[in-house]
Amino acid sequence: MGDIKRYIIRRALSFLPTILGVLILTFIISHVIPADPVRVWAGGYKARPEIIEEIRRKYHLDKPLYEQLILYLRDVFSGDWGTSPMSKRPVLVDIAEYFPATVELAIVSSILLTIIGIPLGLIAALKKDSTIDHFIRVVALIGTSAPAFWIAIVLQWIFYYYLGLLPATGRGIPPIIRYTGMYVFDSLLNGSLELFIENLKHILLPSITLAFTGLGIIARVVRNTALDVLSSEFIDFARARGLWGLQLYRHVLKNALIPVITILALEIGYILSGAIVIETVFSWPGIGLYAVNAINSLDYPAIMGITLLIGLVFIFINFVTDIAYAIIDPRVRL
Amino acid sequence: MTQGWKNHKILGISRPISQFINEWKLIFAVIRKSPITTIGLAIVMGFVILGIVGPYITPYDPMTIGVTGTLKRLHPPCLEHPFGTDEYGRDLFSRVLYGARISLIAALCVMALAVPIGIVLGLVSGYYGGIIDEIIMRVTDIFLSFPGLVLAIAFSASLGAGLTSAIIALAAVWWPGYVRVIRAQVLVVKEMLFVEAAKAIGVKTSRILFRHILPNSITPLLVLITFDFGSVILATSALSFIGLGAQPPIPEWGRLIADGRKWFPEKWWYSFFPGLAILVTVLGFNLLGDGIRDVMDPRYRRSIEIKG
Repeated sequence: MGDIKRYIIRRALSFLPTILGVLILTFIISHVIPADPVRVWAGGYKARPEIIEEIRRKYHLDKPLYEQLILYLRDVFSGDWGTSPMSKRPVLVDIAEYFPATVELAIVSSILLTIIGIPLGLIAALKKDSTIDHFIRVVALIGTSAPAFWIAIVLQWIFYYYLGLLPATGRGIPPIIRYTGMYVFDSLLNGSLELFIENLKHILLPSITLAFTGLGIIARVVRNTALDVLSSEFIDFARARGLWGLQLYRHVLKNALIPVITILALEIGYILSGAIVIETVFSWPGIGLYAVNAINSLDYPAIMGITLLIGLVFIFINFVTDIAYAIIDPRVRL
Repeated sequence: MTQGWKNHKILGISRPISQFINEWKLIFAVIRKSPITTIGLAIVMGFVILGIVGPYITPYDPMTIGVTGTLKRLHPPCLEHPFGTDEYGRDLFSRVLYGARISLIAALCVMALAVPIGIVLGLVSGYYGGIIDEIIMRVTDIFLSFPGLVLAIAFSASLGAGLTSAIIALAAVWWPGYVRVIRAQVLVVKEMLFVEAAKAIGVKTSRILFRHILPNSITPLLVLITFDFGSVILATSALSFIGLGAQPPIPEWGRLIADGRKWFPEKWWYSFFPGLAILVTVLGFNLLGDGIRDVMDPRYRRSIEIKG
C-alpha cells in the first residue's frame, strides 16, 4: 500500500497549480471582465450610491488589480466568499444549505446512469448491428440531443399531469433528524420506510431527467470498450478454456472498467451543470435553483460562489478518478 | 483510389489535391451507405436552409403582438397554427421558424471565434513544444476544470444578459477543446517525412503549420465541429432558458420554452414545439458527427471498402 499513498500525495500536489489557476480564472471573470465591476457586484444599475461605495470597499475594487487578486485569494481561503445581496447571508452559508440537495440529486442520477447505462452498452455490444443495438443508439442519442430542461418538462407532463403517478416539484418531507441533509438517505437513517418512499418519489423525475441526458455517452463508451475487449486474445483464450456466460462477462467488465470510470467522472460534471438548469423546473432547492434565482436578481457574489464551488468539486472528482485508476491498474502508479 | 490514400499514410508523403478530393468522395460514399447519417445530413441541411430563409417564409409576423387576432391567444395547435399561439396571440410556428436563424447565427459566431483560436494555439503548442506548450496546456487544463455550461454561465453573467454576451461566453469556454484536438494531431503529423522534408528545404514555419500540418489534421477537427455545433445550440438554449441569453421578444428556442413554462401544464404546446425543434436539430448534428467519425475509423472504413 506504500506506493499507493505516495501516489495519492503526488497527485494531490500536482492538482495544486490547477486549483490556483481555477481561482485566478474566477478572479478574472469576476473582477477583470465586467465593464464596471462595482456595479456588477452591487447588483446592476439600480444600486444606490452608498451601497456602491460599500461594495467597492468590501470587494477591494478600489485597489490595483494585483492587490485585488491577492485579497481575493485571501478571502476565498479564509472562507469569505462574499455576502449575497439576495439572502443577506454569507454565500458559503447559503451554499452549505443548498448543496446537499444537489449532491443527493447527483448521487441518485449517477446510480441510475450506471445501472441503466452499463447494461444498455453491454447489450448493444453483444447484439452488435442488430435492431436492438440501433434502438439503444437512437434512444441514447435522443437523450444527448434534447435539452435537459425540456425533457424535465415533458416528463412532468407525462408522469405528473397526465398519469398522476409522481409529484412534479419539491423535495418531499424533511426527516426529523438531519444527518446528511439528503432527504432520501436521511429518511432511511431515521428508519422511516414511508418517508423514504415519499422522498424517493420526489427525486425520481429530476434524477431520471439527468440520467437520461447522460445515457448516450456512457452507453456508447461501454459498447465500444466491450467490443474491443470481446475481440481481444485473452477473451478468445477464456472462451477456449470453456468459460461462458457470467464468468466470461466478468473478464469483459473488469477490463472495461477504466474507460467507464473516466466517463462516469465526466458525466458527474454534466450532471452538476444539468442540475443547475433543471432544478428550477422541479423547484428542487439545490444550488441550481439558488444559481438561477441569483441570476434573475443579479446576485453576483452568489453566482461566482457557485462557479468556484463547482470548479473545485470537479477538480476533486478528477483527483478521486486518478486514484481509482491507480487502485485498479497498478501500472498507473509508476 | 483507396489504395493511393493508404500509401500516403504509410509513406508519410504529403498528398496532392486529387487525393484530398478522393477522400471527400469516399466520405460521401460512406455517408450515402448509412441511412442514419443521411438523415443527419438532411436535418442539418434543412436547419441551415431554414436558418437562412426562415424569416422570409413565416406565415405570420413572429414579433408583432396580436397578429393573429385577439381571440387567438394561447390557441392550441390547429391547421392554421400548427404549433398553436402564445399569450400575445403570436403564431408559435412562425416564432419557432424564426428561432432557427437565432440558433444558426449564435452557433456560427461561437465557432467563428473559438475554432481559429483553438487552431492557432493548438498548432503552436504542438509544433514548438517546451515551455510554450506547457503554458498553453496548463491554461486549457484550467478551463477544462469546469463543466462548460457552468463556466459559460459565469462569463455570461459578468458580461450582462443578452445574446451577444452568451455568444462571447460560449466561445470563451469552447476553444480549449480545439487546442487539444489540433495539438494531438500536430504531434503525430510533425514526425512525418514530408514535414521533415519541408523543414530541410527551408520552408517558413508558418507555411509548414498552415499548408502542411493543418490540412492533415482537418478530419478530426471536422468531427468535433459537427458535434460542437449541436452542443453550442443546446448551451445557447440553456443560457436563454435560465434568463442569460436571448431576451424577449427574440424567439430563441430556449427562451420560448421558459416563456411557455408559465402556462404549464395546460398549454403544453407552448414549451413542447420549441424543445422539439432543438431536439431534432441537435440530433441531426449528432447523427452526422457520428457518421463522419465512423468514416474516419479505419476499421469501419475498411469494411466499407471491401464491400464497395
